[in-house]
Parts: sequence; structure tokens; C-alpha cells
Amino acid sequence: MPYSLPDAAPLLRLAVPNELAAVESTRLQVHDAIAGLGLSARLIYRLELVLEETLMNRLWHAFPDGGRHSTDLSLHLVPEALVLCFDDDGIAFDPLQAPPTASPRTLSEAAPGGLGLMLTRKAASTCTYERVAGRNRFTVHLARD
Amino acid sequence: MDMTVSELDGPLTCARLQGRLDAAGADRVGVRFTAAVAAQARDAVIDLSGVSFVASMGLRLLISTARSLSLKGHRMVLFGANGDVQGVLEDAALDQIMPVASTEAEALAVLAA
Repeated sequence: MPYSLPDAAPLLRLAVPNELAAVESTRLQVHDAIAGLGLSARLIYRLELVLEETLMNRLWHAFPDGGRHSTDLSLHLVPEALVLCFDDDGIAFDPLQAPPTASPRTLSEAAPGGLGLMLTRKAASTCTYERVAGRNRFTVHLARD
Repeated sequence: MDMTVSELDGPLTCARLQGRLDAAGADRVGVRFTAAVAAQARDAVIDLSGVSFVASMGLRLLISTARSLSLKGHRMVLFGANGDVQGVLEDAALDQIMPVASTEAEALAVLAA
């Protein structure tokens, strides 16, 4: 079933260019948007983690042909959660179908890839993915403490 | 992301990181960190007490550095992580593949053992 965004107006809606510098500027704009909401430091940390990992994933993998693209980001506050929605026209990628990264037992076993997705999954209470009209829509709920 | 490096008795390398160890921070400090820690033939302790945030690219830097030292028969110990950073280290199971101590004294004791 397609996921519906919350009815309430988003706290923030941004088009984030696929460039490294945009990740930090987006973080700062998100901070401005949530200022005064009384969110816990732990929730803000998880928000920053999901933001960083998802935007970096898009930056590295979503647009293999390069060029100018952006990820449409919206941030919503609902009674039980903060909701982040990432929407882009990159190559189809369902992060929820990626096999979970096994916990390494030794340094030599530690895989270089998959950490960002694993951290996103651990930070989120729920994640959903849809491919709609040639676009990826990845939605992450972060439970309020 | 800033970094200061010193040599402690042992001898061993002590790198103190300050700031956000995210993709931008890891990119900013990565070459210097690798040269100062991974390229040396001695144990190292890494002070994370000044690190306010860590994400996967920062974890990769720590893992690759510890792995390089391990291949040369040396160890790297992390210490001083705040609660949120410690939580990420544990979520990624870094505490299972390299020593993670609370304090510098504990980190040095791990290497002395």
C-alpha cells in the first residue's frame, strides 16, 4: 500500500542538490526548522544520522551518470514521530531489500559497505520505500522519545 | 573536524579528534589521520571525547586505520566517546572488533596488558 505523507504542513521542504556541501547546509536548515520544538538530544542525533546517511547514499549511488540532480526532502512532525521523506529521480533502489549487514567479529571481517543503511535502520522506528512514477520515495519515521 | 597528534610513552600515537566525524569531517581529516596513525608502526589511542557526532564514513576511517595497524601487529584503542557516539559504535559493532575504553587511562591499560 502506498505510504501517505502526514496531512499537516511540513516543518521543512527542500530540494537538496547532489553535492557534498549541501549535506551540511541541509543539516543546518533542519536544525533551524526544529528549533524550539523541545525534541530530545537523542532524537536530534538520530535525525542527523538518517539525514547524513540517506543524502550521502543518494550522492554516491543514485545518479551514476552524474549531472545536476536533487533530492526533495520534507520533514514532518506527527504526535508519535518525526517523519523524513526523501524523493529523488535517481536509479531505482529499495534500501529495505538490501541484505542486512552482518556484525563483524574481527577487523578483517568488517565490510566497508552497508554501514550507513544499517545505522539508518537502527535509528528508525519504521522505514518505507516506494517507486512512484520513476522516482524513489524513502520515508523514515523516528519515534519521539 | 580538527585533530591533534602527540606521541605518548610506549611509544604510541595519541590522536585527539574534535568536531563532527561525518562524511565531510572524515574527508577533511582522513589523509592526516591515516598518515599520523595508520602509517606508523606502533599502537595508537584515539580520543573521541571531542567528537559530537559520528556516522558511517567516520566509522570507515576508524575501521580502515585499525585494520592497517592490525596488519602490522599493532592495536588501536578508542576512548572517551559520549553516549550518542558510543551508541553508534555499538550499533556498528565496532566495540566487538577493536577495544573501546571509557577513559584515556583505561585505553592505556588495555595496551599495557
